[in-house]
Amino acid sequence: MRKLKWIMFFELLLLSASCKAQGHCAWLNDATASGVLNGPVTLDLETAPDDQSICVFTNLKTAKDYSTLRITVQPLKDVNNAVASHKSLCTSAPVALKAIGNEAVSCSADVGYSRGEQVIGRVRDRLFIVTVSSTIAQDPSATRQLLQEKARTIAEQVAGALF
Amino acid sequence: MRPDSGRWILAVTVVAGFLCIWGGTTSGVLGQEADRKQYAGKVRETYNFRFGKDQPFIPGTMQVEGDDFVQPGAFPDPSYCAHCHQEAYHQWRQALHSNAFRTPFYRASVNILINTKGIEFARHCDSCHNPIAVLAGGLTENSKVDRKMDQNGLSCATCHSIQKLQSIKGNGGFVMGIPSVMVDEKGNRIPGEVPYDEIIKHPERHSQAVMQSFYRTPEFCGACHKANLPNPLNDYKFIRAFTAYDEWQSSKFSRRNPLTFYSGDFTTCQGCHMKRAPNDLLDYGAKNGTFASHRWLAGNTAVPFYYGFDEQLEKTIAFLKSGNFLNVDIVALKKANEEKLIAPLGSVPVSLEPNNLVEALVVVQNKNIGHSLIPEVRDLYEAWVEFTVQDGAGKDIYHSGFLKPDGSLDPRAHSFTNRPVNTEGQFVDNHKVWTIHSVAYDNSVQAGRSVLVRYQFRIPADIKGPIKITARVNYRHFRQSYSDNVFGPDHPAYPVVEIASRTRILNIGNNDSVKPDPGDNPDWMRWNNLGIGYLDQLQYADAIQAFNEVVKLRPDYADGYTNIALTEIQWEKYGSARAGIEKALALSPNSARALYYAALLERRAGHSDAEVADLVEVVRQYPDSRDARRELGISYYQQHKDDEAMQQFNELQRIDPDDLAAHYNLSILYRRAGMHDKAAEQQALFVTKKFDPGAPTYSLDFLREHPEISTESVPWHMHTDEVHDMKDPIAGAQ
Repeated sequence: MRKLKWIMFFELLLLSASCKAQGHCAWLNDATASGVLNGPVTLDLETAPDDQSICVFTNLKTAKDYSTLRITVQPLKDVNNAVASHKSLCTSAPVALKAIGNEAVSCSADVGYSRGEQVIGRVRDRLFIVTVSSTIAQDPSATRQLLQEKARTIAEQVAGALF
Repeated sequence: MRPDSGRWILAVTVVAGFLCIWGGTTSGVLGQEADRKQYAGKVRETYNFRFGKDQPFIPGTMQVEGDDFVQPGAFPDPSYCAHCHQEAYHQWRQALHSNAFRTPFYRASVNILINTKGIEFARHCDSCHNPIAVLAGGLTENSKVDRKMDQNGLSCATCHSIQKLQSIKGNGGFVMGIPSVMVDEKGNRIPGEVPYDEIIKHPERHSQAVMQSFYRTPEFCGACHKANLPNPLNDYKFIRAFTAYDEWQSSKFSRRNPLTFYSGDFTTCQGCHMKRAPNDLLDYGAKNGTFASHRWLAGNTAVPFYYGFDEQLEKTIAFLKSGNFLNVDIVALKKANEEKLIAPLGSVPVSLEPNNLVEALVVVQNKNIGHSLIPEVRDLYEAWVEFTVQDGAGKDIYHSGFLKPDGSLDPRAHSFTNRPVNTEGQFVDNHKVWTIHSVAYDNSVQAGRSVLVRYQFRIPADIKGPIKITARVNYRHFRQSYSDNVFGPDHPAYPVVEIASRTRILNIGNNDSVKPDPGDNPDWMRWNNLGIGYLDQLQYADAIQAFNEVVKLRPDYADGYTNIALTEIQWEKYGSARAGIEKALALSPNSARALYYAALLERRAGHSDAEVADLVEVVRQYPDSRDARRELGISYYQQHKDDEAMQQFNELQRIDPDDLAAHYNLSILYRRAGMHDKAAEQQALFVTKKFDPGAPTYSLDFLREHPEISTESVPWHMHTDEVHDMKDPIAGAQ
């Protein structure tokens, strides 16, 4: 079991390293992500259906302990209720945010043992989702409040790049 | 333990402590320098030096001590300052300076520059909007700089680390020092943060590190509130973008310009935009319970509206509506087919009948703004005159300057905006200033001046009851098209603020004269402002008539006669101009304003020595008068006194490094003196700064497409709904 964990850890490292070489995130540089995740990051660029572009920054401590910053941007066909219709991604009641893009909400994004906070927002006809999460238990730099602040800070950066 | 080991330990501790204190400053500086060197070396590996290896911040003007990149961590975070300066932090957080970079209104424009030309060009803008990012070397492709500073724009440490000002060129015309919040006992700056108790113990050393006497001068503001579009940015030539600083210098508040129409007390930018007020929060920078505002209240309502900074928004609106800045005067009426001007309205009787076609003359006086309305970014900020005539039931008879349902301004409104155009003759939307090649229309009210706006309306034949005429000046950030570009069409309406207004209610039939409102100008000044308005519309006969009314009411007012004379000079009636100047000088023999125009008349008459004598006296009284220095330089030049002429043009460049006459004349004078390098430099500066004679063709393309702006671009024009029958044009009008 322990061996398997180590194999997974090295696989993740290799995967991260190969993704890092793929390019740059259009909305945030590595240094800023690194500042938010308190350490060196690797970047994984993804695309997904609906023309989604995704940047995933990971600060990997061990195979089990890592923090992640995930930025998703996608064009919207209908701007009405765009943010509201994505509230199903929230694992806590969304709270409206002022001065992030055209409109934005903040809410939790917990998955399994990963604690996460996210901002779902819109700039004109583009939706963005910024999620900051950590799997590290008792991490003082990843308290719920700090994760919220980090998600908001990065959401402002992303929205700024989208304006 | 040996018995004396305790003593040894004590001694070593004492010596180490002493060395630590003695060497603290030195090692801090050395450590910081080493860190910087290492950091800058790393940045240089991947930095885009498009504009030259030795010019990393071009197209901005900013310089930094040590001429190298600075690690962003060298700048203390504003939260560090907030510990002792809570009031400053609270105000700054809501102010434009702290939001100078992150606001969508800025990002929407600069992103276009980054995405179309490249991020390195944005150093031009960010030198003033985000200087730490520029100094850190963050404005390059794939930068390795953590951009957390973006949310703080111009932080405390930015302004309070500036060590020197460059010549007043703008675009970030300062020299940044390495941030320091303390100096040591010898006055050496200690880089970085220090413990608060050290500052509390030595507040004077803190002040010495973070305050400079020039922070209180207009030149400090001018480092950024003056901007040009240089060749490296636009691949074209130097184009002036804006210069609130020069406008201030030309205003009565600088007391550096003898030619203003009115005089006033010396007031700096800080005098209006950083007024002292009682502080609510703890701030060690407060003096006698008051603190110099770090809100920099001005015209921008959009940023506090977007961020929900209600306090800043409320104070900004109160600032704009304070009633100090503009005077709006419905100064006169004129009925169609009647020559007589009914003026000043309210002080003379007036009779109106149904079906009268009436012309209303509205004067907007920039009474107490130390710069023009609007001083900067007239392509985005919007001020305009709204003029309404209503019947007794409040129904509009005439309305100019309304907002359409989509929020856009009446295209025929009299606005204080501009229309820069590109090489396609298209309006440069989204503030893409690097594409500007010409300006098809540019309208403002310069400091201390007045503009005349004409409206024509017909009183309905079935009118019942009085008519109510209102003229107001409205202001908003931003023009609707820009707000739509930033947010898309589904954004809330942004605030429109009425800065000043005047209403008059007139009966159909006879109206006797009425008592003036408390805010009204005295009648002599109303005539004077009307005269200034006429003068700027090149209506010389009307201007002289208006100024004659001034001297009738104020025969003791020397400037009234000077105004008549300067109008006649512009009209090239030099003979009669002399009478006005002589009268002015008889009333006020030392009037620099009258002497300046006297000098122009002496030049015309060929009295060269008298001309120089007058100008020398003007320069003696106003050593920073750019006009006097320029004319005196020309006078000496014509007298073949090259050294004296050179001295005047050098002084002129000290006042305004972009003055064309100085570049031109110095290029000749230097060449004559054998100073070929300097001559070549001045010649090159003249060539890049001089007006491009080919540029107006782009404006003409725009004006052909936009007749409403074409009309506005003509000095004399009328706003009217009346359709004028052009089938039978007046003979010769073709």
